[in-house]
Amino acid sequence: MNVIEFKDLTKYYGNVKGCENVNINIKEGEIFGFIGPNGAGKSTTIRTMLSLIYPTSGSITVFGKDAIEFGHEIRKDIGYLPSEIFYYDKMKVIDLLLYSASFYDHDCTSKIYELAEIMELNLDRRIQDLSYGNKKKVGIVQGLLHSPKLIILDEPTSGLDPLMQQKFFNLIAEENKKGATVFFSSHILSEVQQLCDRVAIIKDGEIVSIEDVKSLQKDNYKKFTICGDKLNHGRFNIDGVTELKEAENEVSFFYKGDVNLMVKLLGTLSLSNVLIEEPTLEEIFMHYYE
Amino acid sequence: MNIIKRELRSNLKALIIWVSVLSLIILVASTEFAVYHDNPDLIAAFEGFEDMFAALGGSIANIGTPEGFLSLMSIYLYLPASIYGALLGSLIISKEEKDRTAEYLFTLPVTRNQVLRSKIIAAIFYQIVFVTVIILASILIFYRYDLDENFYSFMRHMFVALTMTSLIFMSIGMLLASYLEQYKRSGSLTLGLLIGTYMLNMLIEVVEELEFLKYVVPFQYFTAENMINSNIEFIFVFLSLLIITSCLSGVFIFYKKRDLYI
Repeated sequence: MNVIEFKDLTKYYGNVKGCENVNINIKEGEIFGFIGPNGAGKSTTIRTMLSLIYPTSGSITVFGKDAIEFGHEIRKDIGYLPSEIFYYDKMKVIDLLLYSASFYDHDCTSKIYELAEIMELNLDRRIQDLSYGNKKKVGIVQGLLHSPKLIILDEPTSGLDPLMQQKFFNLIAEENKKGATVFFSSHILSEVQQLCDRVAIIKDGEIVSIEDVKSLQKDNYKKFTICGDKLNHGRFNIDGVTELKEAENEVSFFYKGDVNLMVKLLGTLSLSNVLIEEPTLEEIFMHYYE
Repeated sequence: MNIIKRELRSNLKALIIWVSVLSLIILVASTEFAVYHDNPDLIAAFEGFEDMFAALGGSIANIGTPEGFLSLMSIYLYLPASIYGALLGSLIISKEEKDRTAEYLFTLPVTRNQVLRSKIIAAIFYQIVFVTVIILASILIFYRYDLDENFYSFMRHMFVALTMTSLIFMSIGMLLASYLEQYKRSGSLTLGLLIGTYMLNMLIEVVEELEFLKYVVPFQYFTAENMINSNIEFIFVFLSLLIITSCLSGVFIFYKKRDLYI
């Protein structure tokens, strides 16, 4: 079953394109990554899904219901962590969390304390006295306190130290194990690599590609680095080679295709060193961005 | 219900400050009244300034009575009540976007209509509390001057007059805050409109040819002088309610349709 279905979603702000023809289906229980540089349209897509803004054309279905018409119903089961956190400055953290909890039908008090303890959040401070990272922690607790079935994260890790990031990832993984679907938007690929099953790449408001994270890494590209003498003879310029960088003593490139062919080619050369690696997602995605 | 409570709490401090200061002003003014009270010679000396007093919304003939004196200083009641309403109305709508909390509030499981409804209820309630406290404070402050039925009937009329006038500006503030792309300017725009219509009001009192304009100037609907001598005119109550309900309907229509500014 699909938890989220974007159908030809297009959003223009006047003449400015937010996103165009976005088509994504997200299955129940999966952790779906949403990758793109700043300004690519990630937040636009998310805000449309939450009916903070309305689509120019196309539709979004969440839990099988139209996201605009039944917005308040589907939001009962959505936990949202925005990229920048703004709350009522004068409120205490605990009052804000209890206020948020009052909008849901079931009692969330014990979950609030449980999450606050995991994230090491001081509940008695005022929002205005909190640092950026601490506000983010409040956001995490607020987004998860009602045990949502769909968790939407918009660049969630900014402001968190590495230790907190890890705790946060564990929390998300745990919620996912309990059955929650996760929509994870980020421009940091390593964290997507760590957490996600599938990933959509967005560029200039349009989806460039939707791929399986594992197969993307395993089956596709290999990163070759070759050392030796007088290697800049152009013989590596064959089908399947990209990002070719040739120098006198070192050549590096990505290769996608039959490895036997490449091994044969390497066998004809006298080399001092060879390195064959899995490329990082960053390296894989660079050519989508260019 | 939780949004109403939240709005009442976050706007309480401003309300207390407003009514305290205003009550203090009335208290100070009441000490000046002691001079006019039962002092016909002084009142006779003012007679040459009839026009000026008319512009302020009262008549010099009444200055010796508590209600007459209050009607002369009614500008200090109408203006603060309306300014409070204008600011409350525009701010209660625009603050979620201004403080960027819209992305929090509207991702909770509530409809925009529910939020608007709660905010409107809270604002109207505080506006009525504001007027009620001011009227009660006036009665209390002038209590030492043997108040008669004329005074109490004036106060009853003033209650309706102040409530209607301030609610008009409150709903205009709300409408501008929900309609304007530059929602941050809704407060100052409403205040500009308020001052503008008030100036016009003073002009109408002095220049008779401008009489016809009184239907577009809320301050003309319930002039303090009329509140003493005659009754509240039904047409103006109707007109006020018409303006208030159309503005508030506009709030629902415009705010629901548009993208939130985040």
